[in-house]
Amino acid sequence: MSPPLPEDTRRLRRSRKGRLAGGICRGLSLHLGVNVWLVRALFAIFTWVGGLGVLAYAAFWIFVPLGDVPEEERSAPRSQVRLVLLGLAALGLLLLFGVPTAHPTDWRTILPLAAVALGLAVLWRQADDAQRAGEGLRTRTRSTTHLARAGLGAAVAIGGMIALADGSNSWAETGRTLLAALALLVGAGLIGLPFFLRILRDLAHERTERARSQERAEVAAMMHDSVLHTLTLIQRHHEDPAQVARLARAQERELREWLYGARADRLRRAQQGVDGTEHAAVESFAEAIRAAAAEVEDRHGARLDVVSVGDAPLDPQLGACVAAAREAMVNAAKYAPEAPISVYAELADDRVEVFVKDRGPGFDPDAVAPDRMGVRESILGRMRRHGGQAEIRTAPGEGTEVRLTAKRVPQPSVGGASNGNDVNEERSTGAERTVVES
Amino acid sequence: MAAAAAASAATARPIRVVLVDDHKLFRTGVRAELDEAAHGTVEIVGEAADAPTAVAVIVERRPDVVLLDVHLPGGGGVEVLRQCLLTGGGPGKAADTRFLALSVSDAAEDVIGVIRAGARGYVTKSISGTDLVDALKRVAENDAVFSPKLAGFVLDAFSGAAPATTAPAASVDEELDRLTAREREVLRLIARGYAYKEIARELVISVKTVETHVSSVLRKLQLSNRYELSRWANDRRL
Repeated sequence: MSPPLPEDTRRLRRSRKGRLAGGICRGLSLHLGVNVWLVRALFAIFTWVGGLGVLAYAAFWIFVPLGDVPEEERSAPRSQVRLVLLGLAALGLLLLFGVPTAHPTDWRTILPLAAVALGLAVLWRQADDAQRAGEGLRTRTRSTTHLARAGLGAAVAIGGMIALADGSNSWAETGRTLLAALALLVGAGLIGLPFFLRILRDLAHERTERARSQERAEVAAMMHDSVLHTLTLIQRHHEDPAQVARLARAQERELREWLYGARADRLRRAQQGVDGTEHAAVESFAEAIRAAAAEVEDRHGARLDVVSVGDAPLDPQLGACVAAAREAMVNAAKYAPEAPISVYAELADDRVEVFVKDRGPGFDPDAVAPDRMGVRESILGRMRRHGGQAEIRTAPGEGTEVRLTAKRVPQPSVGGASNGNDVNEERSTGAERTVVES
Repeated sequence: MAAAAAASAATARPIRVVLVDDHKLFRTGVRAELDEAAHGTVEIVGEAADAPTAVAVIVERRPDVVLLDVHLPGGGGVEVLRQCLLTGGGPGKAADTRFLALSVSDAAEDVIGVIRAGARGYVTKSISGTDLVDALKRVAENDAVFSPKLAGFVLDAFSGAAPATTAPAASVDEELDRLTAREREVLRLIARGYAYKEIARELVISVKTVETHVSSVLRKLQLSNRYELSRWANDRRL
């Protein structure tokens, strides 16, 4: 019925061993870490104060289960508790001898005292239960039950106190009652404080735990959706090294973006995903360059290292630059796929520059077949039309570097949709040109 | 004659390297790659998998170069650098050991952080064996090693300041906050993927001059108290 006990809970039990009657004093002494004779003396003293001791003993007997108290649940000797109990004993003795008018058989005294004792017993049990079922607190129903029980205990105790105060009519009686009430409050506080501290600690712990598990879920989702997926694909394609390299590189890029990439980008991308309008939003220049490189990597299985300095939203001129750079990247990936290809894009206020350098075999520019000039022209022509120029530097055995430069013309920034059209139009015209580079 | 002999003896002596990385698999890989590419010019004299062990090994072995991972249990590469180089404000226990940061991360925060803590260079783990040996040699000779990414970061971080060529800098602090036109040119070529030799040919200067420029940029990067630098690196992450 009750949830499994956490490791460290100590639970009040009536001790099966070393008992005189119900094992209550022994159990309490083990639970509180005080001498058993002090507890016994306390019950004995309070038996003469309106029979309170007997009533409390009866209440404990009814509510507290009998059992063995294991070694690890015993408290080390605690001096504060002993002090409190000694104080209670002194109070009892004071009540017993200092106020002789209190008649043990006066029901008007006994009944309220019994109520107080009962309330205290309930409170005690309640605190103990809460400690035991630390995780039970999470569910709302359980915690409300606890609260109700604590409230009931407090109500009974307070009711008893009020009855005590009502039943007395002399100043001595009132003084005695107030003293008793004070003792009760102190006792209740001592009982309740650890309980409330425990609740606070449990709640804080639970909150951090929840945050952590949320984070873990996010990472797990990423791992599951993409990394595991890629690993599966890699295993399936293990006989095709090119495909494996491509998959691994794409996954690396994605993971890197996720780990180190701009958070704002991620958010924006997520929103685009929801809208389903991936290319409608205004991309930035550096993003577009990176996207172009990623696309070339995926398609041609080469590795491109992109470094970018400066950034701005795309406009037609920058769009043309990106398109020309993509052509250069495709060329490099086709003819020099082994070593990494360096892409460097720098955007300043007054100019834009993109460099694509490969470490391939290079070639003799004068001996190039005319059909490849078309591709080159698609780079050159595109740059020229947007106020820039393209230069190809190569020599056999030295790799190839394509340099794209343009003076920045202030242009209204437009969305990527029209830019996409521009790129398409350029692609078709570029292919037709066969102009020889100057 | 004697000096020449000493110099050749110095170059013949293998570079003593300590490898600090928390992935055993990666350490093994680097070891194999160095064995293959270095032809006996690099000797690995110690390994460590976390920051406290790394500090102990470095102090004990006194290597020429430490290949240092940025992310380590026990404080990370920055903590290792702090304890080895800056103990008690002055030169620390391993003042004549050089550090080369090696990481998979190319987050600006990590790169700038480890350089500011005193590393002489930063390369990513995708580097080839031959390039790694070159980088080790360069760092052992107290030169700086910049990856294209790091060069890009520096250009980006210092882009707010005008080149310091036209007017002489008003103070040392101000000089530290700016790159000269030549330094900028060298960094741009590194970012474009040029090797030092290619840079020297492109700018018609000697390789040694290229190294001097890069070391000078490294000094500025480490000493400049431009608060924008830290802020810039942090902003890259947001």
